Amino acid sequence: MKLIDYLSGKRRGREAHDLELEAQRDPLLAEALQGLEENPGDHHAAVESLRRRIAARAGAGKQRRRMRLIWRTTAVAAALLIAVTAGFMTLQRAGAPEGREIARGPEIPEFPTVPVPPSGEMAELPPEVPERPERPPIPQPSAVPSKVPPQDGIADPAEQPRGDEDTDPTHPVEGEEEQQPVIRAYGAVQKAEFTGSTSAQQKAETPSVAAHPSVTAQERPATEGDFPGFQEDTEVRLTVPVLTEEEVKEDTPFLCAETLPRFQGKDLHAFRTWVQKRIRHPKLALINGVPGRVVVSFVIDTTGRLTQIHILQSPDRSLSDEAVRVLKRSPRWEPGRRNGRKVPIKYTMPVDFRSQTSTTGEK
Amino acid sequence: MYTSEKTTPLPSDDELLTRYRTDGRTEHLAELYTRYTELVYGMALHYLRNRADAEDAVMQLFEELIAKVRHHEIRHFRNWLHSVCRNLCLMRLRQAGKMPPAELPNELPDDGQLVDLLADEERRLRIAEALDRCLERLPEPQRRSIRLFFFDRCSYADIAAATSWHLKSVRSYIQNGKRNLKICLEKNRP
Repeated sequence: MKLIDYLSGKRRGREAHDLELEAQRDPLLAEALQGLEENPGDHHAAVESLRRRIAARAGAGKQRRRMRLIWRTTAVAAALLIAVTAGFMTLQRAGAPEGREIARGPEIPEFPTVPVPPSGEMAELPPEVPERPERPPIPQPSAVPSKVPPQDGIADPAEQPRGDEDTDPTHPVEGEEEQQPVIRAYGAVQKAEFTGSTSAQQKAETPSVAAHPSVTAQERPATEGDFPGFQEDTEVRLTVPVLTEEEVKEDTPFLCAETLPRFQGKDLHAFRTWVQKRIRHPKLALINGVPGRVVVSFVIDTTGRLTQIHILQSPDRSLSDEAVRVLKRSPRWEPGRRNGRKVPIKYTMPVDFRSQTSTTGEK
Repeated sequence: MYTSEKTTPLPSDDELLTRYRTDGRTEHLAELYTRYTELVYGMALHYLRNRADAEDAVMQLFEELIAKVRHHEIRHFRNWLHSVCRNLCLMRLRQAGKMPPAELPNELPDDGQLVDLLADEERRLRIAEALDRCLERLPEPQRRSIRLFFFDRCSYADIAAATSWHLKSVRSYIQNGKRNLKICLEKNRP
């Protein structure tokens, strides 16, 4: 039976019963019925208008994706152009300074360079590219702030004289947090560079190979012979570098994760309840009616088992022993996940002991 | 059962989720969310108690969906949606300094199993003895309401008409009757 019929007063008969029965099973339906019944108004019209807005929002998303695609291809094309031009110009020169510079490619440049597209051939890059494991893959980040004058926030002052055509195309600023080294389709490193975060990943992103011959020429003495060698030394990153996936070490649990572990479909509070139900207060440790509290930490490992149970605080050994005993009896959890991979998660939790001997039988 | 060449069966909720995760097109989420719009709107109305806020909440929830569906593992979309919506509404209430609505008078959350049992004739037969014994121990209105609702499949309004009890009373009898039955049945079948 349609909700709207029920709401408009058709409450008799089998169909109405079925809806009511379903509401007893389904809290979503139950609460929705309540809300719709308690509040007056033409809900049908409201819902229809909401549906239109949702469709519009989806349409806007589609447009946004298209615009992003256009931006990216334009940027890639421009970068290509510049790369070719720069490469061409580079080839004109004596060859030494660039060789040196190119040889250094994989390292992080000493000055925070504005990222520059790699020189040489640049393959046509697929517009949708997987991002590093640190950031959840979002091919369509929600907001795309204007890319048009990107060099304002990004260009290092020392590099200003190089002009905008270097910086412009390589900054598909997606509006995410400043700190993260984000890989874009053309392998250029973004803002992270000038924030000074030099991580292992950054090495993999190799910014540039000499696309600013003017600068390097000033700074490096000309030497012969490096030029021919550059092909082997540098890996010119034309595509997204092979992401060094973070090793999930078993012994270093994450404190924050994308998906938290689940205990019987519910959260830590439910587990706490479960524990409290099974705690048997050791009679010997009854301390004058003062309720005891043991603070424990434990790790839910990738198989969902409780490990590394530590007592952080305890008034008495027998209480902590009891807490550990109950914790060890925990059924397996659904482990936490980060970027889809199971990760160990550490939890801290108090376990309370009531002074009266309220021993519930263990289930 | 007729087969039609033109109409394709509608994709399931999970199917739409998978599609969205694959190609990132929000149209799939929109199609999915459209199925639940009425329910989400009703729920938001229940918590927020006015239409404008409820509409905002519905749209805000859609935005959250777009972000969250990618990262979260969702076993059962309906329940997950219920949770997310609930959290959103409660957060809004908290920010506005308002109180959450009174707890649902109708249903207990872990009622599901008992309801399934009572609604299923087969299963009722299997525990017929225990069930009858427990039913006998209920107060008359609860017993009668439970029998009429679950066994005879009458709606609340039907029962109210048949017994001349108020609708609210009928619901309350069923609610309490279920609770008592649950306790009684658990005792008899450990």
